[in-house]
Amino acid sequence: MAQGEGAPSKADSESQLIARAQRGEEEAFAALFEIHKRRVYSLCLRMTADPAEAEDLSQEAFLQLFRKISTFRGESAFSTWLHRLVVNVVLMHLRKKGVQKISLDEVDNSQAEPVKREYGDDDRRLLGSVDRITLNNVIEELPPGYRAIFVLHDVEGYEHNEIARIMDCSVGNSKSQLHKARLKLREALRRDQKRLVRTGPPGRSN
Amino acid sequence: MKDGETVEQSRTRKQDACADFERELAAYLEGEERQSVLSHAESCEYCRCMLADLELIRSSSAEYGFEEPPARLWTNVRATLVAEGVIRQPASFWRRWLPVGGRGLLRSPIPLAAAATLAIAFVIFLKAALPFFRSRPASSSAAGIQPAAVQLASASSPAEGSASVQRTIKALEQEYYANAQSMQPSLQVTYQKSLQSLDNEIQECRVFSQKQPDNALVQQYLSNAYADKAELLQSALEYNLR
Ligand SMILES: [Zn+2]
Repeated sequence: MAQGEGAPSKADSESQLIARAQRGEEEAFAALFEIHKRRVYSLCLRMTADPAEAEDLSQEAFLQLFRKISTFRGESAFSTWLHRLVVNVVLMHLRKKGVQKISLDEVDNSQAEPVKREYGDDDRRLLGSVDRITLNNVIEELPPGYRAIFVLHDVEGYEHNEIARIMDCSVGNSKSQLHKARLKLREALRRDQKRLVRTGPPGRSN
Repeated sequence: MKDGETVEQSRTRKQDACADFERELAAYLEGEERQSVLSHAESCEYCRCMLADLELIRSSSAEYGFEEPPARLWTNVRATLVAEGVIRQPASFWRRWLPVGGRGLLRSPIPLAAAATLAIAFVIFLKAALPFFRSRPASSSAAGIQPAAVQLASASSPAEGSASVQRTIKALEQEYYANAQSMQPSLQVTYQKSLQSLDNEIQECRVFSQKQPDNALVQQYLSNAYADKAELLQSALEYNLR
């Protein structure tokens, strides 16, 4: 995983914290929470695109984590363990909400429908970089299935075979859904930029 | 356009090449070798834009920053862990002030010594303030309007200490709200959020303590939360007077 693993000293102190949390010390729980809260909450927020749901899911994930911290034996990195747990909590939630496997297992028709082309006016690339807020806005618009795969792969750094396993779909599906998600994001970003160019920066339109 | 080719034929040829590009694009972005993708992008403006955009989206996503969860997240997690007995050793009053992993209120990494000084100053303040507040006639009526849950809580804990802390808080709170208007708006928002989060914490502790009046841990949390609140109000007032 790209993020989460630190220098040996950090790992050492984290394993000490885990040992203390296993003894029920509040301070250790608080410190572990503090280290991981942003990453956990951000993942939940991006997967659900809903702050209230993200808060509930983060709470659920931390509760599950702390309730079974006594079973953690250190075979895998703590952050990996936590991360899997969060992803599971979120996916369970999405399934309950009716985000079915269907959206992932639909016939792969990415090859059959090429991108609609309007040569000429649209031959301009996106301007500059894409900041966090803009990205948040357009990710919100993705259908949940696409969003989950996009977040897991492009944001969280999961491999397609891992995604296929946790999302219960094929590697090919994961790849094609990811590609579609990126194309949809591009469309949304270009639309936003056009609107910005037309109306000027927000707040100046009237 | 190639020699002897109609406009229509040229467009079709272009579309075919672009379609080939699109078919190979995903694999190329997955890191597979696709020379045709690069060579087509060189000759086709449209596809070059698409490639550049998708690479930009990929790199921006990998550098996506983190969002800060609301402060009440820990309050809620902690309250549940205490109720379930997962947290068996609560942090002492002192330790909760030191920035070991932080508890939200002292978010800036202030040096340990400064934190300790702050905590000590607070206790000195409390000791100095209590007789003063107690001697004021208003304090008895303030104590009289305490919600039943609080009285229950203070009755089962070192009662006198808890009740006087609550009177102190009440007085501080009145002073805070009297002065809040003159506070810098962003600062006011920050304090207001922290106060809200502490009030939620206190409320939860009260509920738990009603359910389990004999749970010493809950009593300890409750008195810690009151102490936190008094300290927060005090720091707001001090900040405002500067
Ligand atoms: Zn092309």
